Amino acid sequence: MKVFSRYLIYRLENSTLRTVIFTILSVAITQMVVSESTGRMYAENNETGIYILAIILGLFCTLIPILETAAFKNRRNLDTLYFFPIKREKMALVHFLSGYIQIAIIYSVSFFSAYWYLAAQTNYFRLEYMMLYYLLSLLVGLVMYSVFMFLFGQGNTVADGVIFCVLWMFVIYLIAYVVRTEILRPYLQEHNMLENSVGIAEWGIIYAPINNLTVIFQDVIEVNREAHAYDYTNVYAQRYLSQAYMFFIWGVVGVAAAIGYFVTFVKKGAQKAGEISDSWFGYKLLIPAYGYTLILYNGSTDIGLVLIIAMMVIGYIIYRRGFKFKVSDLIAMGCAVLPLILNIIF
Amino acid sequence: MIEIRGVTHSLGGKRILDDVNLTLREGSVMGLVGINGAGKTTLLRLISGVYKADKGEILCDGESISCESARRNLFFLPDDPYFTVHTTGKSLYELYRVFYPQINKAIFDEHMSSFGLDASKPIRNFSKGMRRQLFVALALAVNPKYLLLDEAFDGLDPLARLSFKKAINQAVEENGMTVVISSHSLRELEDFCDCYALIDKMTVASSGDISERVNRFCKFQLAFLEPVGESLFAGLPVVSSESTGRFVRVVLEGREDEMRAALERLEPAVIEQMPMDFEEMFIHEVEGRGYDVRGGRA
Repeated sequence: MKVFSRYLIYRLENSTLRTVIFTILSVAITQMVVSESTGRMYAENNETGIYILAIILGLFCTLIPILETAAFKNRRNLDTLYFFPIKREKMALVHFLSGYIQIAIIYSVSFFSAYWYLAAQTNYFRLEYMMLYYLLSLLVGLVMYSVFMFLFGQGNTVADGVIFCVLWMFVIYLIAYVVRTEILRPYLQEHNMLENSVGIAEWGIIYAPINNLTVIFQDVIEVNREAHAYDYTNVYAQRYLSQAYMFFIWGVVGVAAAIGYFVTFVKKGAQKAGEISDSWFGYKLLIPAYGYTLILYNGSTDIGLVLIIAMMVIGYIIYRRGFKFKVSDLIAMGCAVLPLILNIIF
Repeated sequence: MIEIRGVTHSLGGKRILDDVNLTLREGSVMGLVGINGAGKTTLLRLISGVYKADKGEILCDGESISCESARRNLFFLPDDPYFTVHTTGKSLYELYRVFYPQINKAIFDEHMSSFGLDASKPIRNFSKGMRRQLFVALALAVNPKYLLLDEAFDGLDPLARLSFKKAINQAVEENGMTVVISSHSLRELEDFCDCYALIDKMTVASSGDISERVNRFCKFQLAFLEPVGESLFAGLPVVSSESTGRFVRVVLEGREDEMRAALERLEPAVIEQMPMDFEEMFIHEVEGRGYDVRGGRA
C-alpha cells in the first residue's frame, strides 16, 4: 500500500473516537428535533425539522477543519510531521479528505436517522426529495468545508485561524448590506430592487448556501406547508430558488478555496508556524473591512466612530501581538480617524 | 551520501545560513557544533526537509531532499518532538509505521524495555529524557540510513547517555548508519563522532576529521625558574596561553614533536604535554573567530 493510503487510513482510524462521539451527539440532537417537529404535526404543523441537519453540517464544516489541521500551527509538531517521507501535496490531500470523510459520516448517519424516523412516522412528507437534498447538501457542505479549510489555513496560530473563520462568516454580508443601505439605496429604490437585494446580501454569509438549500427543500418536502398563510418558508424558498445562480457562485468560491488551501499548505514554510499571521485573507484585510464598513454604517456619531476606531486598534494589537504597528496599520487606522476629525471640524 | 550545496536560508527576514556547503560521508558520525543561534537546528531542519532552502540544494544519495524517496532514508529526531496529550509510545509507533513500513517492532520493544519505558502510557507524563529515549527507540527500530539528531544528549541522565551512545554505535557498526548529531556536549560528541562541522557566521566555518583536527593542536604545561611573560612565546604558533607567575599553559598549532622542540629551546625547568580534547579545540576555534568564550560573546 502506498504511503498516501496508509496515512489516510491512519488519520481516519485516529479520529474514530472523535467521529463516533460527534455522530452519537448529532444523531441524538437530530432525533430530538425531528421527533419534536413531527410531534407538532398533529397540531396542524407539519415540519420535518431537517433544518437541524443544516445546523449539524454547518457546525462540523467549521469545527473539523480546525481539529484536522490545528497540529500544523505548531512548529514543534512540524519538525516531525514535515520530515516524514510524504509529499506536502499528499499530506494536504490526506487531511482534506480525512476531515471531509468525518463530516460525511457524522452528517450521513444523522441524516438517515432523521430520514428513517420521518419515513416510519407519517406519509405527510415527500421523502423522495430527501435523497436529492442529501446529495446536494453534501456538495454544499464540501464548499463550506473548503472555505473553512482555506480560512483556517491562513492563520499561523490556532487562535488566528479561528478568528479568521469567525470574521469571514459575516464580512461579505456586512459589506454587501452596508453598500446596499448606505450607497446603492436610491438606485435600488428607483429600480424596485431594494427588497430583492436583501436576499442577495444574505448570500454573503458562509452558511447561506446550506441554509437556503434547506429552506428550498423544506418547502418541497413538507407537503402542506403552502397551506399555512403565516408560514414564510414558502416565500423564502421562492426567493432563494430565483437566486439559484448563487449556488454556482459559491461552487466557484469553494473550488478556489480548495485550491487556496492546497497552495497555502504546500507553500507555507514550517517557520511560519506560530508567527504573526500576515496573510491578505487575514487581519490585513479583515480589520479595515470591518472598520470601514461599520464607520459607513454607524459612524455618523462621534461616540460610534471612537468605538469603531478603538475596535480597530484592538484588532491591530491582536494582529501584531503588541503595539509594534507597521506603517500600513497606522495608515489604515488613520483613514478611520479621518471621518472623526471631519465630524469634529464640520 | 548527503550533499549540501550552496544552501542559503532566512527566517523572519534574517539570514541564518549563507552559502553552506557540506558533504556527509556514508557511515560517518558527524558532530554539528557551533555557539547558540549559529544555525545548527536550522541546518538539520533543512537536511530533513522540514524547511525548504531559499537557495541551493540538498541531495540525499543524489536525489533532492524534497523527494519522498530521498526522505524515506532519513530520520530526524528534533530537540522537542511532536506528541499530543493522548500520545503513547504505542501510538507513536503506529504513526511511524505509516511512513516507515520497515520499522521493527521487536527492536522497538527491546529498546523500550532497556530504557525502562512503558509504551502504553501517555508520554505527556514522561520527563524530557524519557521522551527522548522513546524517540531514540523509534529511530533505532526504523533503522534509517541517515539519522539526524538535534541536541541529542539533552535531558538524558548519564546511564541513558551511555546506552544511547552504545545503541547508536551499534547501529553505525552493524548497519552502516550515518549520523549527524548536534549537541553542546562536545565531550560526548568526541566519544563517538568521527567528523565534525563547525557552524559559525552563517556558514560551515570548518569541518573534517575530529582526531585529525585535534591532533593539529598540542597543549603543554611549562614551569620556569623565573616568572615569564607571554612575549616569550612570540614567534611560536600560539593558539592560546595562560600564565601564572612561573607557570604557563600553552596551546600551539603544529606537530607535537616540533612544538616540543621549539618550547625546549625556551629552557623551561619542566615541560609536560597535556591531552587536548574536542571541547578545547572548539573553544580555541571560536576564540580564534573573535568570540570571548570564557567571558561571554565577542
